[in-house]
Amino acid sequence: METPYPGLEFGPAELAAVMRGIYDELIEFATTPAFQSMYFELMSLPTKDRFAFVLDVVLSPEERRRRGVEPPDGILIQTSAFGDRRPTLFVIKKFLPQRYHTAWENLNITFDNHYDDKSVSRDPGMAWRPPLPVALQGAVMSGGVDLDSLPNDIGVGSALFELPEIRSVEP
Amino acid sequence: MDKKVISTVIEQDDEATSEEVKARLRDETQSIIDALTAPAYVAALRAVKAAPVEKRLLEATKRLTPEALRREGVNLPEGMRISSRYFESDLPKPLELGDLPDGRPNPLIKLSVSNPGLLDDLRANNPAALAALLSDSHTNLGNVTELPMVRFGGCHCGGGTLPGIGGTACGGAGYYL
Repeated sequence: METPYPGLEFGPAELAAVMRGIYDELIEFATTPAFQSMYFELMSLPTKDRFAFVLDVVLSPEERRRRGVEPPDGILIQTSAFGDRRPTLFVIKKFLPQRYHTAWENLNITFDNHYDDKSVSRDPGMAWRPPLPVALQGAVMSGGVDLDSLPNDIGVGSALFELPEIRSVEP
Repeated sequence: MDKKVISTVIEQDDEATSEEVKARLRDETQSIIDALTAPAYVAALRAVKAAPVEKRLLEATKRLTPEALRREGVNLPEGMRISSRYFESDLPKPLELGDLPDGRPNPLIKLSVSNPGLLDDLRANNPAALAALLSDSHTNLGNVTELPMVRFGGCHCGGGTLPGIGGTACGGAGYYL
């Protein structure tokens, strides 16, 4: 039996095995021809039209079914927003069993609009900003506006936390 | 034009077979798993969660950065990003948590307090019921001031663009802040 993490009931090998299984499930789904076809349909659109497609098709069980995209039990298709404000579109995600939530909670594969890596800041203060509400982020992306132009204090729960210092506003 | 979006074109990898793509994806995600399960990484997550609520983002900027984790001996492949992240439901309507315009309390807030986990359970197991629940609420996420309603955490993403599918592998929200 392996040595558990301090204060937890499981160790790295057990957690890694569970994660491996979940990633394999996500990979299996992401590589189905139906999912791939829907994804490339999304990415064939102009960037400003992609978030609307996510709302209308990727998040719609009816539209997915029409395209033969049937997520297995436990795999969720969601939208999200990052503190670093990379222009993300949607995510396929699966929760780990509750037992492991004291360490990690979910694994996912995330699909972004393409961006120049240098344009998204790696400053910890930028990366750990409260994320924008997703609907707002999507509207801003669709409008072709720079996500970094929005103030930091409108992020989700920004009234709750002391906001990190940003060392540099440059990406 | 959003300065982050530099390309409207994605190229499908037509050369690789499905099994080759899956094998590459397994390799990419294994490097993520190796990092996420490192004892020093798990310890850093737990330390951030243990900080006072209002300090957790500040703690994250100190402990949950690629540089800080590498200093602790975590083997992070190049290009990893670690960031706060907020997930919404898999429904077309945003999860909305503010007070209602007429002053009535939002039932979602009451539910989040009285039944932690209920909304997540509905989202996973009964999205139709959650959709009905969300049909009479109002958005005001920036002003939410109680932790159970915020529900965002950290996310570790790496692997660049995954070969053959275009996505990025992430270990998400190990612990909601």
